[in-house]
Amino acid sequence: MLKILIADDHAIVRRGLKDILREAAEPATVGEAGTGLEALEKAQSGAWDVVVLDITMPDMSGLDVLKRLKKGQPDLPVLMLSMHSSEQYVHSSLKAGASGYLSKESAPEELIIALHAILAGKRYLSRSLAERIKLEDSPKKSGAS
Amino acid sequence: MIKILIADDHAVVRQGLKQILGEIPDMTVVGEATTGLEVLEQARAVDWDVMVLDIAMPGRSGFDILLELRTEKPTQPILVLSMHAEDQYALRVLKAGASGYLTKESVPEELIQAIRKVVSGGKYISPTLAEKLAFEIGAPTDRPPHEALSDREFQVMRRIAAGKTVTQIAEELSLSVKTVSTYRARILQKMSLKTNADLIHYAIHHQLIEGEL
Repeated sequence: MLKILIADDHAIVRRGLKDILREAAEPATVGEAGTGLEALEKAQSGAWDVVVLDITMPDMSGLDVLKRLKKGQPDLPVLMLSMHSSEQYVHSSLKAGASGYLSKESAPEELIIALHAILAGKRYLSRSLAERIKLEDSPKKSGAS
Repeated sequence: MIKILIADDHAVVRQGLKQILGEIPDMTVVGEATTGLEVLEQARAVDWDVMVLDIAMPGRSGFDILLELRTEKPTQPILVLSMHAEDQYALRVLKAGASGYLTKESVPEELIQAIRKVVSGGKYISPTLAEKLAFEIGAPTDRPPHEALSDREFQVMRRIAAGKTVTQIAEELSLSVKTVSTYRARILQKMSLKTNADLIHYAIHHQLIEGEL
C-alpha cells in the first residue's frame, strides 16, 4: 500500500488532500504534518513513498525541509504544493530536488496525475505553471504582457 | 439544513471544506465559487444561509466582494476564511461587515462552531482575537499606522506596496488615476511615510502584501 506524507499548516488543506486521495480510490496510508519540523521528523522516521509538501509553513519552510530531506533521502519523491506560483519558487524547488510542483489552484485530478508521474520517476510541472514561467522567461516585447 | 456557499480559488481548500461540512448532518454545500466575480454570481443565484469566503482571491479581491455583498445582502452572514494571521486583517474585515474571521490553520471543529454561531445571528471571533480587541479598546494609540486607513485607502496602499502603478490600481478599483493619486498622498501622510519605497518596506515588515485584499 502506498504511503503518502502530507505536510501543510492548514488543517483544511490537509483534509482536502486526504479526500482527493480517497476519492481517487488510491489505496494509501496517509500521514500528516502541520509544521515544517514535524514534516521533517515524520519524513525521516517513516518509510514514505512520496511527500506532498507545502512551501509556507511555520518554524521551517517547505524549501528548507526539502533540502534537508534530500540530503538523507535523495531518492524520496517530493511534490511541492503551494499557493505560490512564481518562477522563483518553482525554480528553487526543482533545483533543491523536488520531483514536481503544483499550485493549490490546480484541479484535484491534476494532483493524482502528478503523484503518478513522480512515483514513476518522472518530473511534473503543471502546464499552466510551465507556460507562465516560459512567458516570464521570454524577452520583453512591446505590447506583450 | 444550513445551506453554505464556499468561495476559495484553491481547489484543495474547497475540497477540504466540502469534506468537513459533508460530515455534518445539518449542513450542506449549495455552491462553490473560485473567483470574486463567481462569488457575486453565485450569491445572487443560489439560496444560501451562510458564506465561507476566502479573503484573497484572483480578480476582484475577497475584501471588495465582502463590501459589495454587505450592500446587496446586508443580513446574510459571511464568515471570512484567510491564510493571514488574525492580527493583520481580522479587525478590518469585521468592521467591513464580516460575521466572523477564521484562519485556514483553524481545526475543522472550529469551522463548524463558527458557522453555527454566525447562522444564529452571532459574530465569531477566536479567543486570541477577542483578547486583541480588548487591548485595542484599552490602548488605541498603540495601533499601527495602517489601521488608521479607511478601507479604500487600505486597498490602495496594499496595491502600491505590491508594486502596481497608479494606472493599474485605478483600473482594478474602477477609480480615476487622479483619485488614486489623491489616495496615495493621503496614505503617505497618515502613515508618516515619504515614498513608495517606504510604503513597500512598511508593508513587508507588517506582512501586508501576501495575497490580494
